[in-house]
Amino acid sequence: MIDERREAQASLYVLGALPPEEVHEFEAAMQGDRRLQLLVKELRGTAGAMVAAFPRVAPPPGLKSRILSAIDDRESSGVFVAAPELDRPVPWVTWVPWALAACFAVLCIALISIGKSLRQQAVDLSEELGERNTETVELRRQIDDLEARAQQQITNYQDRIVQVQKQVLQRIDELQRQAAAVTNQFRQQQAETQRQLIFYRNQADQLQREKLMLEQAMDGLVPGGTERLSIARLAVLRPTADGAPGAVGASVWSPADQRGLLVMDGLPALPPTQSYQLWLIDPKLASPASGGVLPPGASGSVRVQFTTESRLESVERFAVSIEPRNGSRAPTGRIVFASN
Amino acid sequence: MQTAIQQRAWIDLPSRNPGRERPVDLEVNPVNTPLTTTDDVLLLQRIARRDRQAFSQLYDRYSGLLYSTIFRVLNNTEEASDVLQDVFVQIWDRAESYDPAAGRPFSWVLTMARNKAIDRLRSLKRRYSFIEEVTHEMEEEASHFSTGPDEVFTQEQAAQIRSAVATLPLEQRQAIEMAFLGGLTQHEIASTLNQPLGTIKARIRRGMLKLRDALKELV
Repeated sequence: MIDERREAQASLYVLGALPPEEVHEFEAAMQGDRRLQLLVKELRGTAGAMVAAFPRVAPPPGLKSRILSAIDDRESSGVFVAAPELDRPVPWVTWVPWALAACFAVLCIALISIGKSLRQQAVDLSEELGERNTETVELRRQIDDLEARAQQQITNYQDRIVQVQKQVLQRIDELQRQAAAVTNQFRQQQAETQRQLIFYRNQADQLQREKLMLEQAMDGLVPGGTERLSIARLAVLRPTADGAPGAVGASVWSPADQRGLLVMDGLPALPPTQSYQLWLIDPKLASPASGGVLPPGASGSVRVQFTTESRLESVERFAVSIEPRNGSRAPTGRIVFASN
Repeated sequence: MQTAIQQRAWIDLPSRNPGRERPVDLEVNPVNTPLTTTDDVLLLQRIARRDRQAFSQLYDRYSGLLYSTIFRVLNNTEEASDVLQDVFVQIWDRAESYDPAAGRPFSWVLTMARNKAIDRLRSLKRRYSFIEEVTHEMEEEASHFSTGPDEVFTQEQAAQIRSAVATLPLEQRQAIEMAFLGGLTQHEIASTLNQPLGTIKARIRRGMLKLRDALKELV
């Protein structure tokens, strides 16, 4: 198998375009390579055939006779290169020095050619080495560049990962805070709901008791007929800030009968020197009218009927105060129960 | 840069180059009975023995192709005639040195003619002159390819060669012709065509191998 380099050399060789320094090297290679010899022979034949493709130009008509005359002249003048020299016997003493000189000349030429060829090869190899070095430097630069880019990418990805981790942790922390806040809020709402539930239950109990008180108070008026009920003043008494929180009461006042009924529940007991006194407030009067003093020692559930010393036309409110044991002409003590 | 060199055709047209010298074309002889390579070898052997008739016969066979080749290099009838005379004189003198193992007789003689033509070109301090015509159809110039009665290639063979050459890409033909007819080295061709050396080598190698394969029977 002949490689492409040798094929190119063979082509250039037969065309006469191979540089002299390569000719020697190529001819030396050809010596021991029958395939290369055959290729050169074929390519030489190819070059020879190629000229048939040129436009044909005929030689001048008289040229042949001129050439024949020329060779006739050479024959007659004895100018002939090979035959005469070969036929003439020459003493060995005359041709040996010439042969030695020729050998020496051939040797010199061969050495010069070889030296030239080697120098050229060295130059070629040096150029090739330079090119390879340049390519190596370029490749090294590309590798460095790629490594730098890869390192930069890794750094970027690491930064990104750290950033994402930080964001995830922040998000988890935020969610935990939100969950704690929601839980806390839920607990507060639960407590508030519980508290409101208790409050509303208490209020419901209170209202239930007030309803009971009102029903009891109303029961006192029923014997008078429903027409009396329509004009009676009915009110719930609730403890004031000074009153007992668990106590409740109701009072009804019939203007027609000028009498009323007071019911109380959860009434705390008073010292023996004090009594609860009921007061009726009529806007037409300058001061509250006394509804009487509750029996001494009255506590818990109390039901008393009362009347007033003067006639009252339009009672709007009721109140209970703590007064001396026998009562007062006007409220002097703390108001512990009052209606709206 | 598109130069005249790059536009040059492998086959030129004399009618389109009025300033150029053009000798008379050979007569058309469609029936050829060419001698064989063996006959050529025998002719050379006879010439080596100073056979004038063999020399005359060899002249008739080779002079057309050799003169066309030399003329293509020198582009001058007088110079081409002188060179052809030198070639035949050299054949007369050196016929005994022909070695059949090195190739066909025509290749041997053609190499001699080509070298002498290029030597003459250099001695005239001229460069190979390229024709500024672009490629033309070969059919138009069929008469320029007529072969003589005893020439190296028959008309059919010549047509086959022209066909093979015509299939080569222009840049390959151009590089091969600059080397073979211009006597330029690979470096000079690369420099002239402003192409890398490797490209020129590759073009010449591909072109020559392609021609070799196409003309296998003839070479």
